[in-house]
Amino acid sequence: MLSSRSDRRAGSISRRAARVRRAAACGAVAAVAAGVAACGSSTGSPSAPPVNKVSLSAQVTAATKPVNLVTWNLPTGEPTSLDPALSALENISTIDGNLCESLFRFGPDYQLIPDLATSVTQSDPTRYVIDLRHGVHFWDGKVMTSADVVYSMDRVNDPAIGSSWIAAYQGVSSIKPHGPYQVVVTFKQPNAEFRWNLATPATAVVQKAYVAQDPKAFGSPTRGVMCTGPFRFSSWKQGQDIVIARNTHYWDRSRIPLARQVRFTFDTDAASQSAALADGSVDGQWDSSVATFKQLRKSNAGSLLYAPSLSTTFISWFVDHASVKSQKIREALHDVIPYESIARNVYGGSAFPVKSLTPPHTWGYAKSVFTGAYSKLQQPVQNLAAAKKLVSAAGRQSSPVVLGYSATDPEETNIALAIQSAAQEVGLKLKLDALNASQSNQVFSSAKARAPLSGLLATGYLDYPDPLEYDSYWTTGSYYNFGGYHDPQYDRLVSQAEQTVNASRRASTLVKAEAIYYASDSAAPIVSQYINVFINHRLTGVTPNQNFYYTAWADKLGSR
Amino acid sequence: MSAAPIALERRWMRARRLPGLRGQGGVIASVAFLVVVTLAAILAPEISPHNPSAADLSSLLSPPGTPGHLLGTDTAGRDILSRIIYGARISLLAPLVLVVISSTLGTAIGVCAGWMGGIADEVISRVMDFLFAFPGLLIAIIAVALFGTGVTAPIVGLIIAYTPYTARLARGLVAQERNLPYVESYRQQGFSGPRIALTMLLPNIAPTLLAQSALSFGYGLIDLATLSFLGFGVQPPTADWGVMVSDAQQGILQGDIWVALFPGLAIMLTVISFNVLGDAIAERIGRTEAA
Amino acid sequence: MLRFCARRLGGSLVTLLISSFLIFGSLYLVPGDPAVYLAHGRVTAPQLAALRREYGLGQPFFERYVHWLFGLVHGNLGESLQYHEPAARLIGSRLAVTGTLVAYAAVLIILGGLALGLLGALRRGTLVDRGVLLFSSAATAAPAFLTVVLLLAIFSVDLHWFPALGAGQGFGDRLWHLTLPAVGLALSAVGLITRVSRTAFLDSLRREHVEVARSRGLSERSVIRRHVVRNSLGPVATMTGLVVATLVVSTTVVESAFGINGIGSLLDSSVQTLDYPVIQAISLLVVVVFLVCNTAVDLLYPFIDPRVASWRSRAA
Repeated sequence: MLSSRSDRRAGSISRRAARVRRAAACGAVAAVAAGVAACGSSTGSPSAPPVNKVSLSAQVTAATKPVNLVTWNLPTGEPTSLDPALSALENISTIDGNLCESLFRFGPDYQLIPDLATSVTQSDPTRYVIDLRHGVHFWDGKVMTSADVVYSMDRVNDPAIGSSWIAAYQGVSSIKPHGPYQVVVTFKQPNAEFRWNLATPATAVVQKAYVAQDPKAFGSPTRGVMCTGPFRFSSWKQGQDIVIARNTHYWDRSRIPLARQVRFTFDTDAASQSAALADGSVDGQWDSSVATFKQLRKSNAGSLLYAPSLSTTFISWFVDHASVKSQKIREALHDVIPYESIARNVYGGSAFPVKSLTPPHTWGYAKSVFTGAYSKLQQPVQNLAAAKKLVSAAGRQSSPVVLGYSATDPEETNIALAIQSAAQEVGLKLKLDALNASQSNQVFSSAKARAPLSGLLATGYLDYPDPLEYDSYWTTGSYYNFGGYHDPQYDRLVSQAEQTVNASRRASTLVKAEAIYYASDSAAPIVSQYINVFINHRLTGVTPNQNFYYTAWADKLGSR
Repeated sequence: MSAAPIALERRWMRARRLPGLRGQGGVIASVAFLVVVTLAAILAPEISPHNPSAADLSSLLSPPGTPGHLLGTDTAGRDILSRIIYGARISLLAPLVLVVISSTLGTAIGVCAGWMGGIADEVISRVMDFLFAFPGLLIAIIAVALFGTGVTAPIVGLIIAYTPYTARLARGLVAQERNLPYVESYRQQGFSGPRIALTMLLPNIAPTLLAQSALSFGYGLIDLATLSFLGFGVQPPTADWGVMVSDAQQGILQGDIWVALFPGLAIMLTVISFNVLGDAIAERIGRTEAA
Repeated sequence: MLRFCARRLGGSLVTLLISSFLIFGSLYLVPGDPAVYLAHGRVTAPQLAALRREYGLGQPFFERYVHWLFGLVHGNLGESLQYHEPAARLIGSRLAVTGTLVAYAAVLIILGGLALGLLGALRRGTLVDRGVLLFSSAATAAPAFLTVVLLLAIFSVDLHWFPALGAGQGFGDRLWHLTLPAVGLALSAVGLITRVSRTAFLDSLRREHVEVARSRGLSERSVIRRHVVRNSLGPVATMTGLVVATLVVSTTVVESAFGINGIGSLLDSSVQTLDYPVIQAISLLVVVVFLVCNTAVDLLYPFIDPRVASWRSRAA
């Protein structure tokens, strides 16, 4: 949960914040979401939330005509590298999805579609046999073989690379080529999540020979990357733009891009972003911030499209902190949050209140099991009277609750301020601690940075529609369990689920674990924000879908 | 702009005056404005119409003149007037601390250098010259990288940046004054050097230093607000004028300029008032000296 | 003259050396662990240890300083923790745009300040003069961040007169893109220079030789050009020299607002991510700019103002 994007793990949330004030805003949030419920129609989902002001875009017209140049802005700013192993940041992923392919890719509903692999078989729950596609060439013409695949996986699994995808290989015992077109990955114990990672940058394939030539410069502006995707790296003028050009020799002839070149710009300022999108000097952008919605909606240069996402904004309480040790206080805090108003006013209708950290669109399997459990959870509403009672029942607060939030995110800032105001009304002492980018990063990694805080307001997203990803964070000893939640029964259930390959059995185990977790009020799920994309009217083909981080999307861009 | 202008030596101070505003009217208006702002800061809890941190999600970005919100509300639905009133506290206090410390320190250093002359003077002057090579904002930013965000690091950084300006000014004044006949006569009457420096000479140069301090206050206010704007200084949600302009960027996007305009005006008017005041003091000295 | 140059050069080098020591030393003391930022905070303990080794973060201070200094001499400013790129290259690729922006602002400051100052001085005491003074007071008191935010809101977002994004390509387009940022960067210094030059002009106008020139029948225009303007340039040049190095730091505010990826926005993001090598390199760059500007002003001074044969040696 916490993490935003890709790196599935904790950091992500903060990363989004990382760029100066504006940038990320909604972006981070969303990431994965689209997933499950298919980006398109959320209508089908039983618990689909009412949409306030935003209408969701299921389908967009497919592009038919080529276009010479598309200018696309990265609201999170200039990437620090294009190395897919480091692609845990929005700005890297947005480009990398088009350059470097993984073994599988995500379909619009996050179904796994064979990409560089043609199939994966599990002879037993710990062993993945991956058959590679024949006839795939890197941009320089070299043929992709199992040596490249194994090398790429080993790279991610090498601590010195610093990839946040390393967790995908937790418990791996060997990664071996078996002939030029087969790779066998063996784990010490079953790892149910590895299947999803076949479509994330954890298994993105880079050319061994190219990396080995100058390993440190791989992904840098001068060397770029060497992959197999529908676009190839063309140029990176630091501080200006990154240009990718279509790969006319792409192995999948049916997916050769219509856009000859896509130029990525790095504007992090919301004001200049919306001006540039409105005057057409930039064609599109993922994850525009809420503050730009008004301008963008009234712009006749293009349209702003939304779709459900895999993201959730929530508070994780540091349950061992004295101020929130009492469950009554945590309950009171949950009663104080103005859920509806946050969705409507803070997010301008582009979000909806959620009952859990893994709301409907994050269920990539066994939907009926998750639906049943979700319907039993309580719909959160602000209830100041109840909160007041709980506060007086809890007795004198030993110390004020200190809520950390990312000051670089305007929406989270507003949520935090609203919670503080409401807490004041019910006599709950609550202080805010505005964290800058590096401070919020530290909250995830350092107990010392967490010490003064009672909890953290954050937005994170799943990388793929499997609630297990978040659920596993809260197990005792997990590196990402920054909230310090501990419950032996919960741990047992989650670890059981991790090793259960059967989807509906895994789901049943998970919902049992989740019931325990939510009953403890250790986290307050608040809203899930839609993913959005702005696209100029001269273009079409991009459907809002959070899978754009890991799967090519610019290949579908073209003129109407 | 940072501190560069303060680098000017005394003769340049003439150039920095504001002849257009220096009439009695300008001075009275400036003093009145500063008194009002200071009182507002002190009496904030008494006079501010709302709690400055009360966020009302149902009234985001209300325009000025909305009943109950004279200057409107900001992007989080907080009352802008109340935030300006509360914001005056840290926005004025921080530059005050900066100016008091840097002026005291600078005066002490400058008086020592100017009075002692010789090697001490040479060494001190070299160190001060060296510090001029770093713009104040840069020192403050390095201080933030060192000590983390918050109001302390920028103040410490700017003290280092501002002190040399006062020191140089004080040194120049002392070096000039030292050779005047009255100092010599005190000496002959048997007064000790430090005593002459402290009791006779310091009062003579104090008005000029005071004028300089008033100008520094204005620049300090701007520099500190800039750091807060960048997210390095005062941290939100604390009400601070620089933070308010920073927060307002969201509102501006939605066409609501006033959210930035009012705190911005508060900064500008305060700075102008301090400049007028500094000029008025310098002016008086000029007149006295001419007479 | 030659000796003067040599002394200035030597002094500048000493200043640089001490600066490098202070900059490196102060940032060495930083309490945070750069490796954490390096890894975006998402890594495990063994990953951190590996990163620390990789970037030599564990070595003793003096060793690292000497190593760094040695690299410096060879044009190696260290490697960015954030971008995994040589800091020199990061800065080099951003230098052009920030250089253009600062130069543009400096031109605005000099021309705008001189023009307004002259206008005020020639129309002394009139409504025009009062207007000039009022403008200069307001401009001096306007923080760059406020100006920039308002300019962007009015001229880009509302009126669409100027582009809001990026630095443009090609000379004309770049100037076009950089106009608002340069105005934002320059405004408060324009106010200052206006005042300085107005006073200087007034001083010159009062001088005897101007009277003499007038009485010799020279046209008013050439009196102003040859005697008044020329004699007043000294103070303006000194002030401008001081201001330019400050402008480089002020781009921090301006560049991020306009989505310009230059030195300023790089400094901003480097401080946020504690990318020390880049902070160090940019700080040194600013010191160099300061020294160059001031040396240039000092060297030019005798040419600008014939009354001054050589100038005091300021700033080491």
